[in-house]
Amino acid sequence: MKTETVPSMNIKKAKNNRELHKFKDILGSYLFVLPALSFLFLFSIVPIIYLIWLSFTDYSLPNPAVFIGLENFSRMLEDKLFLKSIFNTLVYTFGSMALGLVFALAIAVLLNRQLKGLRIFKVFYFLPTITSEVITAMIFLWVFDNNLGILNYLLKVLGMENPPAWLLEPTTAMLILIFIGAWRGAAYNTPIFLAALQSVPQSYYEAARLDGANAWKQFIHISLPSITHMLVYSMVMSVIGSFQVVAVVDILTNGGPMDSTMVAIKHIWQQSFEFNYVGYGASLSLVLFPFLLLITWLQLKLSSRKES
Amino acid sequence: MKKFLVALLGVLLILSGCQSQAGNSAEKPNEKVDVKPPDRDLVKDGLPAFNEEVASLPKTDLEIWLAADYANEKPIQDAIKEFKTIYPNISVKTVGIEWGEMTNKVKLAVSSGAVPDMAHNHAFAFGAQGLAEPLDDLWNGWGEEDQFLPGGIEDVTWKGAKYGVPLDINTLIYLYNKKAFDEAGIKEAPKTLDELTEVSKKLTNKDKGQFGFVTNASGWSFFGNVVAEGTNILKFDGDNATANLNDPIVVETMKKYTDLALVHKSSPVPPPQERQTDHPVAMFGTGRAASFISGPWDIARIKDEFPDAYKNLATAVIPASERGSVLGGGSLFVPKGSKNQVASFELMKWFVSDKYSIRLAKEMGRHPVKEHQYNDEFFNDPLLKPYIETLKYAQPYKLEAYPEANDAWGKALRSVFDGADVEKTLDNAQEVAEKAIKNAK
Repeated sequence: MKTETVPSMNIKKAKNNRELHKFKDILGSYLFVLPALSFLFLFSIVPIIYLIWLSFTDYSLPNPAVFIGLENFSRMLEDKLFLKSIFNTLVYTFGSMALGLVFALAIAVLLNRQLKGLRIFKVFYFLPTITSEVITAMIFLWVFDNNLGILNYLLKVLGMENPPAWLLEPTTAMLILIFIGAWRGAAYNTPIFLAALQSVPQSYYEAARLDGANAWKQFIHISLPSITHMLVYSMVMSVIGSFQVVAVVDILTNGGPMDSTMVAIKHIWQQSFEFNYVGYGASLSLVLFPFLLLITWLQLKLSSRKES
Repeated sequence: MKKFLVALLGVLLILSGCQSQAGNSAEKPNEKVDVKPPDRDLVKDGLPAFNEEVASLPKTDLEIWLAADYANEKPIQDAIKEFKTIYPNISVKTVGIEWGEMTNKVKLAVSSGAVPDMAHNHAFAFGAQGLAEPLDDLWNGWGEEDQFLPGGIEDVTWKGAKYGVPLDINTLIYLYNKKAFDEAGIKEAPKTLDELTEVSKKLTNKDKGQFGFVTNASGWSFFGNVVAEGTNILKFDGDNATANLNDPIVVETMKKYTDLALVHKSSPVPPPQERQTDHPVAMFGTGRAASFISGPWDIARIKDEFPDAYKNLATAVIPASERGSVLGGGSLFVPKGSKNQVASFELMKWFVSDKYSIRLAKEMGRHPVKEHQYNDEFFNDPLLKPYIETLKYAQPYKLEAYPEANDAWGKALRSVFDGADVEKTLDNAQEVAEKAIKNAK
């Protein structure tokens, strides 16, 4: 009898111990993430819930919010400037993202080749990312101002009588904003792409070279597919970042000329804080969310199709 | 590692101990402090008389929000320091906030209930939006309203109630390079907008990249031209305001003003940035332009940053058919919900006292709001004469009480510079302004 019960008791005890360990493990894990989750809940989830509530109210500080149902959303349909700002944001987003990623990839490929003298360049390429947006905007203002900017000064020295008023023309103003966005984006994405390129096994390239593939073919058929996951990550981050652009616009063009560079966040900020339509501003920001979700989903879908 | 953790815990415990001590000392609002009148005569020293009511207050902590370019200036800090020696029961904490940020900060503070005891901007605009406490009782007790320039009082008044104390005042004048005028054979400054156009055309030299005048796209600044032409963009019938943005005189003035850049090319088209103050002074200071319209603060700036241009600097009233301009400057107010109105109001009186107002003018280029303070010899400077003359007729920019209408006005001017039709643009702006005034709470 004894010989039979002892092992079964041991098994039970061991099982209990295992379960206790598992429970402790799970509890420990939750305790570890609890501080981060609390912060996330308090500073992200709660404000989002509050924003959803605000979007159904007429709220002008310091008066209390009054529930008005869907009125803010019907007002949005008549807000032509909001639609224009969404369009401008999309133009800016896709322009700066495409240009920025191409720049970043080109720089990363060059750096990966370990050509002579490129080491010095490595020190500088990240600088635009760590420079504040306001300072970046001021630098480009000194470059592109049509009367006091260095670019038009040089163009005049070179003999051009009437150099363009860069920031006063809708097309050039938007192109300059896209260029600045791309410049900052390239600086941020270059080290990411460089790390991804360096993780591609060299044996792939050796095999390709034996098969007679040239540098371009190696890039298209080996490098690019190997870093698709990083490309998608950078695209998603670029879209999210570009949708939040405001400081550069504020300083360089103030949304002009003729609202041609008015971006969504600037419009929302203006409605919420300058005009004190906090409830309406909340509903405008709520509309941006599905936009971002849709773009991100499309990008992920696209990349998964490519990978398969 | 263990030792490190124990040491860290120790440090945290000590710090938390300090924290609770500091908290205790700050949480004694009703502590009585014995404040005795000073031995000297404060009035003789150019300061407000000793105020028994303020002296009898329990220990009070004032938090004051001043514009960032005022908060740490010596005249302001010296005034606070001296105030605290007379009233040791009052402590003052100064916070510097960007001028443009003040509205949002005050709105958020008022709605959250954590309000400062004093803030700095245009008191009337905050009174209009329900963000400031009316201070009429304190004004009546003070009894010095008649010493202030009427424009200063207007900057704190909304619908008959006074919401603050004006701190400084300014208006716009015409600044020009007299050497350039002499060389072009122009004997005196232009007196009307048409003369300004002719003079500016004469002074423009395309080959040298020089302009006769520098326009700017600030709605506030252009309002100065509108006033100088004898009209206003807001009409008041008692307490009721109506928009007047598309008044024929406003339309004509805007057309002539923008034509200087767009048609006659005797001014550059203003840059698109919101901040319009740097461009004209830089163009003038570097010799690229012969004249512009700005305030007396740019006299000090040209003297400091462009000493060569300062040698040839002359001033005149704004070229227009009537007189006056926009009234600028700033005022102090008590945000809605503050319980320390008496102490806060007393400190405001100190800032505008003869002793510190004159220092604000001399050291910071911020000019006084009390009429008699202009008798100081500092104001005998011939460059300031047109400024003092214009002050008498300057009008405050009341459109600021309606943020959406204010934006529509500024945007209209910008759009015309960008090529839009003046009449149509002002009609649209008028529509927006009418709606904004109607919806104002």
